[in-house]
Amino acid sequence: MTVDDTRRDPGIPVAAGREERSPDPRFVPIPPEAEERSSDPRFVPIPPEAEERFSDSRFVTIPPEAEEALPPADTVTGKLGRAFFRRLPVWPLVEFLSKKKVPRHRHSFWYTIGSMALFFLVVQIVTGVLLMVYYSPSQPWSSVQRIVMEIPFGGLLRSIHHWSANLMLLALFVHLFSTFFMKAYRPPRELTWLTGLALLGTTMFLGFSGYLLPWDDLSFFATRVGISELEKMPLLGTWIAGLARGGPDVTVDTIGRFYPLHVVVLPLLLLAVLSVHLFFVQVQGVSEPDSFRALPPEQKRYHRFFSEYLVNEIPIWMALAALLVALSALFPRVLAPEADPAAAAPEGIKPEWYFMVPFQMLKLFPGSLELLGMALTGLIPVLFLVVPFVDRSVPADRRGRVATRVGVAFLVYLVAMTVWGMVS
Amino acid sequence: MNYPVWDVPFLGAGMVVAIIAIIHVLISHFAIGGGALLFVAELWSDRQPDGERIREWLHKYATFFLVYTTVFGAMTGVGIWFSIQLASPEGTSLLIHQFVFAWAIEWVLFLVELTLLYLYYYGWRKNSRRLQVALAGLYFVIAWGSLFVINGILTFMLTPGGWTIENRDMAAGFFNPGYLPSLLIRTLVMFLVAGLGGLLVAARLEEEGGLKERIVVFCSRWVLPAALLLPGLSYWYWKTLPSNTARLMAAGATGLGGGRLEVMTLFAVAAGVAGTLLVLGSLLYQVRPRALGVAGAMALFVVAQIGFLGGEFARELARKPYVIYDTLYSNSLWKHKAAEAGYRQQPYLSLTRWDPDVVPLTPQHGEWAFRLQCASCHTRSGYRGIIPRTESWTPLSGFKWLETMDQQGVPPPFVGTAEDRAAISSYIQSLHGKNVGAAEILAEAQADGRRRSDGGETREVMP
Amino acid sequence: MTDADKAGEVRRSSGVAQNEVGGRQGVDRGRRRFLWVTGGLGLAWLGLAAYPIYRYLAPRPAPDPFGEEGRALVKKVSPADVAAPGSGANGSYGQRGCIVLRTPEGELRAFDSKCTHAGCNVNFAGDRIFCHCHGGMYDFGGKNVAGPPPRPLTPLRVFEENGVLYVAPTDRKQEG
Repeated sequence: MTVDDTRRDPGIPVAAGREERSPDPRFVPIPPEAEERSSDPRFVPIPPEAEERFSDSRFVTIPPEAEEALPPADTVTGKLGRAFFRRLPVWPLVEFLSKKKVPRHRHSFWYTIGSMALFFLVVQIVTGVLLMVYYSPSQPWSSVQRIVMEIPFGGLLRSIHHWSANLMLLALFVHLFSTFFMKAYRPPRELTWLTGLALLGTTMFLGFSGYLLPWDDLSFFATRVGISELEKMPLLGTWIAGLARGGPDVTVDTIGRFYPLHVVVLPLLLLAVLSVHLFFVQVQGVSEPDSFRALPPEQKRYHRFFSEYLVNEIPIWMALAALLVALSALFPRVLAPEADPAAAAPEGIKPEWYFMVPFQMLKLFPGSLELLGMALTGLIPVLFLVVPFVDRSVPADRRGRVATRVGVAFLVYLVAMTVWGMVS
Repeated sequence: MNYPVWDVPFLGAGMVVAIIAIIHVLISHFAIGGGALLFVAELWSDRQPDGERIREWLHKYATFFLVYTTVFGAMTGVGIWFSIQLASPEGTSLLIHQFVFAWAIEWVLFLVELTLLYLYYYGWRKNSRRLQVALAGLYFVIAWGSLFVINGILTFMLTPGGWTIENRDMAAGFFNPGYLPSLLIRTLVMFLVAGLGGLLVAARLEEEGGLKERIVVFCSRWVLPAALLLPGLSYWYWKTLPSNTARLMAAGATGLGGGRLEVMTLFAVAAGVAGTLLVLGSLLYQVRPRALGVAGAMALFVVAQIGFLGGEFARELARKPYVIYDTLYSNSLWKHKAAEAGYRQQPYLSLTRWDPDVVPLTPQHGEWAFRLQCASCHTRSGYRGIIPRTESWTPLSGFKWLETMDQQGVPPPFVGTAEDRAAISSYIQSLHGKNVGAAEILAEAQADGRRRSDGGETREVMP
Repeated sequence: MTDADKAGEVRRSSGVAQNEVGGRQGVDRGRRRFLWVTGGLGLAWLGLAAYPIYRYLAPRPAPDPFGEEGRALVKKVSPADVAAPGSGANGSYGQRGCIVLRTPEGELRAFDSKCTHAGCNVNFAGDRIFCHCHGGMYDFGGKNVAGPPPRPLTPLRVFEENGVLYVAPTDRKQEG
C-alpha cells in the first residue's frame, strides 16, 4: 500500500496498515509521531475528489492481459506501447485481431484472391499518383507521350498501371465466382456480398474512365462507342450520355469530367466501400465452406491471421509484383496515334475484355433487337444482386443446387462471350 | 541461310527457345546449388541433436530434387537442343564445332553427375554416413564443373573476346571477358535457388519441437551470398558488355526508338526487382520461420522464375541482332560474308541451301524471303510482330527502308536484289490487307529513281 | 514493425525450440545479429528497386533558353523602347524574364530579371532596378546597391539584328 492510497482514503488508519503487513520482529516499530510526519502537516491534504481527478480519468487503465503481452515496462517500446494504450482504449481490438483465425482447408487458395485484388489496388494507387505527376488533362496525348518517351521509366510505370488494372479486374471476377461457388453470400454475409459487387462495379467504372485519359485513337473511339451505347438506354439514356460527355460528342471536355472521376471521386468511393467490405469480413470472420463446417471440431485446423496467414500472403504479393514488371517488359502498353475525331476508327477496335460481354451482346442483337440485348446484359448484375436472398439455407437445399448450376452456366456464358468477342 | 526457317506463328522460333530455356535455367541452377545444400545439410545434421529428423527432411528434399532436376531438367535440356538447331542451325553448328572438346567434357560430367545423384539418393539409410556426405560433396563438385564448362560457351555468344572467325581460338572464346563475372553470378544465384527449394520442401513440415523453424532459417540463409555480392558482380558483368549494348541498356529507361529498345532495360529491371523480393522474402522467413506455407514458398519460386526470365532475356536481347556477337547474325547471315563486295547484291533465295523454288516477284517469293531473312526475329502479328512495326510503310518506303535497314536501328544488313526487296515489301503490304504486286513496286521504284536522278533532289528515306 | 519487435518475436517464438534442443542464448543472440544484417541488406536492395521511381521523379533538366542557336529573341521590348539614354523596359526571352536598358552613357545592357535574393522578377523603375518583393535595389550596371540581394544580377549580352533585340549568354558566363 502506498502513501497515495492512504491519502485517497483517510478512513484507513496508517498504523493499522503497517501492523497488518509487517509484524516482523526484526524491525523496530515506527513511532506514531514519525508516521505522522510522513503525512506531513505542512502540506494540505488533497481532497479525495481532487485525487481522483489527478489519478486521471482521462487515461484508460491497461488491462492485465495487455500488461502481459506488451514488452517490459523499462524498455522504450514497452513505454511507448503503454503510453499508447493508456490513451486509446483499443486493446480489445488488438486482442480481437490477434485471436483472429483463418480456416485451413484445401480451398484455402481461393481465399487469397481477394488479397491479391487488394495488392493490385495498392499498386494502382501508387502508380496512378506517379502518373499524375506528369499527366496533364489539357494536353492528354502529348503528356502521356512524354511519360512514355521522355521520362525515365515512365513507360514502365504506365505499363504496370495498365497490367495491374487488368489483373485487378481479373482477380475480382475470380473472387466473385469463388465466393459464389463456395456460397459465402448466404446469411449472415449478404451485405459483404453486396458491397463486393459495388466494388466490382466501381472498379469497372475506374477502368472505363481511365481508358479515355491517354486520348489515343483506341481510347477515343472506345469511349465514344461506350457512351453511345449508354445513350440508347430508354428514358434517361440521352440525358446521362450528355452529362458523361459534357456535350454531344467526346471531346477534351470529356477528359475534364473523366479525369477527376478517375483520380478522385471513384477512388474515394472505392476506398469507402472497401473499408466497409473489409470491416464486415473482419467482424464476421471469413466464411467457412460447407465441407469445412461439416468437420468435427477436432479436425478443423486454423491459421492465426497474425502473423502466420499474413506472412504467407506477402510472398504471393511479391510474386505478383515481379509478375507485373515482367509482363510490362514482355508486353509494354503502347500508345496509339493521337485521337482524331474526324478520322476513320482504327481497324479491329474493341473494348477492353471486361466490357466484352455487352459489346458482343450488341453485335448479336442488331437493330430493333438491340434493346433486348441490353436488357439481357442488364440482367447479369441483377441476378448477382438477388442471389443471397434466394439461396439462403445451410446445408444446401434445392435452391442451393440451382444457384450452383446457374452460376456454372453464367461463368461459361461470360467466358464464352468474352473469348468470342476477343477472337471475332 | 542453311535450312528452311522454323516458322512459329505468334511466338517466333526465338521465343520458343527462350521459353524452354528459361524453365531449364532455373532447374539447372537448382541442380547445382541443391547439391551444395545436400552436402552442407548432411554435415549440419550431424551436429544437431535431432539429426535423423533433419535427414528425413533432407531425403524429401532429395526426392523433389531428383524428380525436378532429372525429369524436367532433362526434358527441357533436350528441348533446348531441338529448338536451337531449328531456330539457328548455323549458330548451333558453330557452337558444336568450335567447342567439341568442351561439350565432350560437359557430357561426361553430366553422366557422372547423374550416377552420383542416384547413388546418393538410393543409398539413403544404406550407405554409411561418410559415404553419403562424400557422394553429396562429389556431386556438387562435378555438377559445378558442368557449369564451369557451359558458362564458357554461353558467355562466348555475347562477349567472344579475343576469338575471331579467322583465329578460332577456343581458349580465348571460352575464357572470354564475361566468363568470370557470369560464373560467379550464377554460382551465387544457384545457392539462392537451392535455399528456395529447401523452403518449399520444409513448408509441409509440422511445427513441432522447433525443427521446422531451424530448417527454415537454415534454408533462408542461402540467399545471403547473393544478397551481399550480386550488385557488385552485376556491375562488373555490365562493364564487360559490348559498349554499344551497355549504352543502350543505360539509355533504355526512356522510350528510345519509339519505346522499343527499352525492353532490354525493362527485363534487367525485372531481374533486379525479383532479386530484391527474394532477399526480402527470405528475410521474412528469417523473422517468422513458423509461418512458412506451401503457397508462400511456391510464390518465392515464382519470383525466382521471373528473376531468371528478366536476367536471361536482358542477356539475350543484349546480343541482338547477332546470335554470336559481331560474327553471326540472328538470321544466320555471317558478318564477314555480308562485308564481302557483291555478296549482299546476289539474289537472296539463291544463297539459301534449301531453295523453295519460287517464281520471282510472285507472292510466294516475298513470303519465302520474309521467312528466311526476317522470321528468325519477327513474327507476323505476335512477339516482335512485323505488322505493328510497319504501320506507316508505303510499298515504296518499305522497299527503300529495307536497303538501309542495318543503319536504321537493330536489324542486320539486307541481303538480296531489288526484286527481293520489292517482293518483301509487297508481302508486308499483303499482311496489312493491301494487294500491291511486287512488279508494281519495282516499277514505281525505278520511276522514282529516274525522277530523283533527273531532278537531282535528294529526299530523306522514309523510316 | 521495428527491428526490436522482430527480434523480440523471434525470441519468443523460438523459445520452445531452444528449450527442447537445449536453450542456447548464444544462438539467439547470433540470430538477432544476423537479422540486423539481413534487414540492412533488405533495405539496401529495396533502395535498388526504388531506383526507377527515383529516376522517374528526379528533376528534369530545364530547357536552354538560348536554344541551339545560342541566342534568344527578346519579347515585349523593341529597339525603339530603349533608344533614349536612361530608358529601359522589362521583357522576356525563352521562358525567363529580362531587363533591357540603355545607360545614360548610351550603352545597351541586359540582365536576367531573376533577383539574386529570393528569385522574384525585378522591375525597371526609371532610374534604377527595383525588386518589389523585399525592396532589393540594383543600379544600371546590375550591381546590388541596397536591400537584401547578395549578388549582382546575371548580365546578358544584348544586340540588335533586323530591327529586333536578341540576348545571348555573356562570355564571362561561358568561361564560368
